[in-house]
Amino acid sequence: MATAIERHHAAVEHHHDEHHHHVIEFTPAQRLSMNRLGLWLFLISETFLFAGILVARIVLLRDEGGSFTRPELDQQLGLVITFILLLSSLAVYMGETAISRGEIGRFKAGIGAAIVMGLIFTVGVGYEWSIAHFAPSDGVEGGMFFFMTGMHALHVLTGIIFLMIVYWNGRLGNYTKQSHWGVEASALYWHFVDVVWVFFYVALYLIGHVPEVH
Amino acid sequence: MRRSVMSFIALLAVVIGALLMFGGFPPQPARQVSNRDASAIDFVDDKTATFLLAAAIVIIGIIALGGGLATVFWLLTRQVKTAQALENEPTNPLHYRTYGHSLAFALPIAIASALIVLFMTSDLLPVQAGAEAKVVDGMFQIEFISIAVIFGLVMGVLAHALIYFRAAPDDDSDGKHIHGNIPLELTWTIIPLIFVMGLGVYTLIRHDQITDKEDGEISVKVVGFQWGWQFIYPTDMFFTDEQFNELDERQRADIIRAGGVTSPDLVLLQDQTVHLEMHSIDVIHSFWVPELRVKRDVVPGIETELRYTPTLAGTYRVRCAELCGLNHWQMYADVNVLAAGDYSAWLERTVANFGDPVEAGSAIYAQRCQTCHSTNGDKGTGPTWENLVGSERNFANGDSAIADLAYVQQSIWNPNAEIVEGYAANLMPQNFQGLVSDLQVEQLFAYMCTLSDKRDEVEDCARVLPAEDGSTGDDTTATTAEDGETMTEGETATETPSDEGTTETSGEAETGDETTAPESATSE
Amino acid sequence: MLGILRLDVWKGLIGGAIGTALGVFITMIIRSLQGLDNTWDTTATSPWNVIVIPACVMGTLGFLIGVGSMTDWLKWMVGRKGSDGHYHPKPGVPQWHRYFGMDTNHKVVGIQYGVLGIVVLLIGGLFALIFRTELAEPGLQYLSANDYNSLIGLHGQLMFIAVLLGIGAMANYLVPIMIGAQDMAFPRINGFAFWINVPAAVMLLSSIFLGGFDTGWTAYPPLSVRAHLGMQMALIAVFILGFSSILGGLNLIVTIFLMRAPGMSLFRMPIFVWGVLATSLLQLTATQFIGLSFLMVTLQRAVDIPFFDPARGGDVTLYQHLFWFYSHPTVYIWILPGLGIISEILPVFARKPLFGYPFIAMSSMAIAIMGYLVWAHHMWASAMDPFLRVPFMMTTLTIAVPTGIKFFSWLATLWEGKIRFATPMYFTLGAIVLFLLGGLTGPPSALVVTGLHLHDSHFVVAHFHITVFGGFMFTYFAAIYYWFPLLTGRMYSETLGKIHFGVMFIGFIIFALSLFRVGLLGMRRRIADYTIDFGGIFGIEWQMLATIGAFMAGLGVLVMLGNLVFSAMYGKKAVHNPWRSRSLEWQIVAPPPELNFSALPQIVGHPYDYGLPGSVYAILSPDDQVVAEPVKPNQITPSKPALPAAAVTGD
Repeated sequence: MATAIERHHAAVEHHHDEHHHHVIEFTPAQRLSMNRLGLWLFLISETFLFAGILVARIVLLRDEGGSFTRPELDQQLGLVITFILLLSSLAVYMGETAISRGEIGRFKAGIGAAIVMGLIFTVGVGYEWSIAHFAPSDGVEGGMFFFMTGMHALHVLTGIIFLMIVYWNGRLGNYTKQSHWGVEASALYWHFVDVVWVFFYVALYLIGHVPEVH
Repeated sequence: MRRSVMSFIALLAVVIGALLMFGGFPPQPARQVSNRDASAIDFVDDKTATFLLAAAIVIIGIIALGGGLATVFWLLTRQVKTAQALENEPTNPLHYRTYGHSLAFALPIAIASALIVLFMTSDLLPVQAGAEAKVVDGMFQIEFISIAVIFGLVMGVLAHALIYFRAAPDDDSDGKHIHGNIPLELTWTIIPLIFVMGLGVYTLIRHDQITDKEDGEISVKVVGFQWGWQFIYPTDMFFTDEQFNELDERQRADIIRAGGVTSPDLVLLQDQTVHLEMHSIDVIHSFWVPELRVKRDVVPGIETELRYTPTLAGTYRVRCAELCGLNHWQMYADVNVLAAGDYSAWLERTVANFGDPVEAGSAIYAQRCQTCHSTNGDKGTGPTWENLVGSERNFANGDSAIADLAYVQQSIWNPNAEIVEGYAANLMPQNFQGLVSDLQVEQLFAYMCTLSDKRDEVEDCARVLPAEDGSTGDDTTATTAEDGETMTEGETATETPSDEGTTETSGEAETGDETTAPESATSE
Repeated sequence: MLGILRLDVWKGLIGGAIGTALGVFITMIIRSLQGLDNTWDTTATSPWNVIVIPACVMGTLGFLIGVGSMTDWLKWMVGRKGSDGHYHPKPGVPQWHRYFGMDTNHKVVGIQYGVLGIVVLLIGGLFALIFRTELAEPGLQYLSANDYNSLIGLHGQLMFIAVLLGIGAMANYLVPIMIGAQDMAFPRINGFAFWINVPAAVMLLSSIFLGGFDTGWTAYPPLSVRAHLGMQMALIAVFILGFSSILGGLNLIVTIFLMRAPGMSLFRMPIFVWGVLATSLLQLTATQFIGLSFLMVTLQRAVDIPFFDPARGGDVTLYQHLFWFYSHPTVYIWILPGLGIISEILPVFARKPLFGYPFIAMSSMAIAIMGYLVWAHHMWASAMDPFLRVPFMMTTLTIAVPTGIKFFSWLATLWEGKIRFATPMYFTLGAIVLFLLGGLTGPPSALVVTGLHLHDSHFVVAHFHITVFGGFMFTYFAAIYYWFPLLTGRMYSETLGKIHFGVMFIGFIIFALSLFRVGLLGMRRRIADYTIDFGGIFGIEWQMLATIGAFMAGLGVLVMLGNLVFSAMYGKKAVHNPWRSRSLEWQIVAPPPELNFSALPQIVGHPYDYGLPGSVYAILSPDDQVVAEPVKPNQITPSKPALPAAAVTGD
């Protein structure tokens, strides 16, 4: 961290506080790297959560012979909502690149589209819940399905809230080409949620056979 | 130099004193440890000599502990060397003398600790009642000695450093500027690594020894539940196929449903390995007989196994070792290890008493009911069984009823139907209808009848209890006493009694029967 | 003193109450609209197992908003500018109000953690003394079995929280100053993370009134699924507490990696910071697993998802694996900072470099990483496949090696030093002794053959108490006494400190040895009563002796509290840098100013170069340097006062 010396000496903003000490402000670059590290650490933490859930799925959803089982689900619906979620990540990416170029219009379009797609995804999950012909308490296949999709949907909803906040702030003109950390953070979080879904989708819809008797 | 010697002795005393305290005072042994036929240390045979030696060391230890602590504190507050004295000392870059001092401190403490521990090991653990216990105790011995040696060494070096390198009050200079020493780092990384790996490998070998299948082992099923144990023996241990077919239909059904002959006690043959196959019907429990050392959890949904090879006859207690709710602390069962003669006697006795409803009832009571229901009038979580049968039960909703068989059956299978005044709903387990068959209800009722003064007033008692002339506790006798009972049962009643294994054990039968009275089998 | 009514914490409590009420009512309304039942009872199947979930979440949010910990974020959300993140004194509002509200200064947050930690420690300790009184003699004298089971569970949970809070106190207060920073990387997250603990503690304690829970802190299903409503509250409380742990760890990692003063490479940091770094990595990642396992039990209780019901495909052993995957690393969370404290204090009192500093630093990291690989040693007797015992035993044994490196390095640090004694040193040495005993009594449980006898006996109870006392409690006390002059600018009473140490050390040893003894003899843990006679010594039974020891330890804590409170108010003013430490926190004025440093210090050497003439660790700006005053006759100093600190020399 030898470059820290240069960075700190380059700190420009000083202001006096009541205790006659300067607040040594960080440069925008420093602040950004701290924020980025913080966000990545948070995502690493969340990875552990979802990894634990996957472990639970692997352990529980098996038959007597040890091969994997899965709940009986509407595969078409699953494919459609997965596709929509992946598309929403693309939209977020577009929005983020737009704001880094200062293009507010495209930014709003991208983020707005992502929000809409996120909502469609959530509604899709809700619909899958309502048409499932098993209840959460029927057996582990059903239980894990509701648990995993529920936990993921919770993160999708918070992601949507973040995107809405970011949309609103963008609309107010609070972002610049150089300073739009909120967008970057929300985008990264959204991509993360997407990657989690890829794993969950495979684990719930694709791997294993449907057991014959619940 | 003299100060070093004094402080060394003081430290020795402190460590030994602590170890002895840890070891305990022999004159007040735990009741469980009273049987000392089996000992890890064979060279000390004579009990009196052992006691005297232990007492002497303990007394010395206590005096030394107090004196040692006082001396150590005194030393720590005294000046060791003035700065001037240090200036005049010859500078020896390697300071062998101080290393030597340190070893002089540490080694004897370590060795003494090891010897004390070696001596005390036999007192630190419960009696060794099984082959596995011997293996476990051997490992404990290695561990305790290692702990004593390492603790002694580290404490010795620590104490020596604190005393020898203490700064004089007027000395403000710093210590030697030593940053590190790579060879030393490597040494104290590699040697411990080898040591622990060695321990690990050795343990794995011993572990296989205590878990592997043995020749001639028998399997007993164990069921754990809140808050008791049930043991299920293989049917062929007691009955040949022929004998089995001669049992009453309901008895056969009970055995088949349970998967064997049930009992509240675990009875084992000395020197025979028992393979326990365990599961729970509610929450996680754990099966532990400390005299036999090893334990295993008893869980719902998965069958776990445990092997014991008891070598010491006696009565022990299995206790639940995983917190399982309210009465976890008194979830006990008896373990009887019997020598060969006693064991065959037990087998025969069990067969002889097999149909006796009172015996069977009291066994079920011991397994399932005694935690909450007393037999001596004490009020528990549930009503006492003393004088229950035939009494008038007053319910919370104002109704009342006389306690007969039908009432008892309802109380067991559907406890919330009528709650006696003064007791709460939802305390009695609601699942007994699946666990206790109608035959078993009758057996419980029979047992309850024997606890009640009013039993002569209750018709059901006469029906289920064995006849007064003391014929074998065949439940077939009970059912045939009633007129109009199905002829099949009556028929078997006339045939069976003399065919039972009872005739062989005329001398042995314990409940004072009178086992061979075939002609009175069909008495009223 | 009407000013007391203006504390932000009341706003928090009101917010919490409103949030809880809203949560309850909205959930009840939604449930009645669906035709679901809402009758109140505290059983396992009560509908309130569902209702408390949104109630607790909204209550917590209400509290956090009310106390002001989310104000800036809420403003940013709607596009407004928040505050600048620094403290600006308001006219007429005394300084001490800061400690009862949201504050971003790491020192205020550190003290908040410390005080709340002591409060939780006292409550948990009180519960322990209550059930220890019950356990002293056979027979249920004072408590019912259910009360007993609830108290031991609560004691465990509360102490778990108290330890995390104590670690938060030390890390938050010290790390930024030690690395030459003005505050943490994310000051608002810091304050927020602290306040999460208050609603969590309230929820945990509320379980007493909701039927308690009879499972112990480990909450194994199926028993935890059948326990009363109190269990649900405890599960939710710990789940929410996890957020504090994760955010705190995150903050510390970013601070340590990106905010060190110029010239401070990782191997020029104080060793305590390495301990905190290792701890924070564990807190960040492992905590999710206790959240997950508790969440699964919560959901099985509320919505009957059969994760752990074998009749419907569940697996009870899965819970144990998930639970212990966190709960083993957590014990390293508990001790790594404390072991760092030992490494921090010994060089100062021996006036010698820390022996093998890079190896000690790496050993902390090694313990953290390897701590992930050993969890199943809590499950030797469980239903898991016995084959798994093999790898886990080998990994568990291997962890002894980095721990051993620390011990040997400590001995080598003392060797050929110039050792001085004061209360912090006593506690440090006591910690070494206790942790040594604790570490040595680990292998009997770790080696499967003997572990199968010791599992769930009092031997294990004694083992983990002695390791936690050695690794955390004694080191925490050492830290409190050591940094007390920095926090307050005053000196504590050395006599009372010695009394605290003596009473606590002896009391605790008596407690631990007694329990080791009965555990070996076959006494189980977590039993409300016992009918077996395990003997005793000098006519006193072991359990009675253990209770006496426990009370002595409790007495020691009270002595300490009296000492600290009295000395903070009336203690003699301490000289500058009374311990003559080279570390950064002692070079500035005590108590430290709001922003610690006016300009970033320049690090030009190693922190532990005692004994090297002319060595310099850091160069501070003239504004930050302290001119040492001459010693007054009645001033308390354990050694000569510090030399004028134009630079910190190695003398």
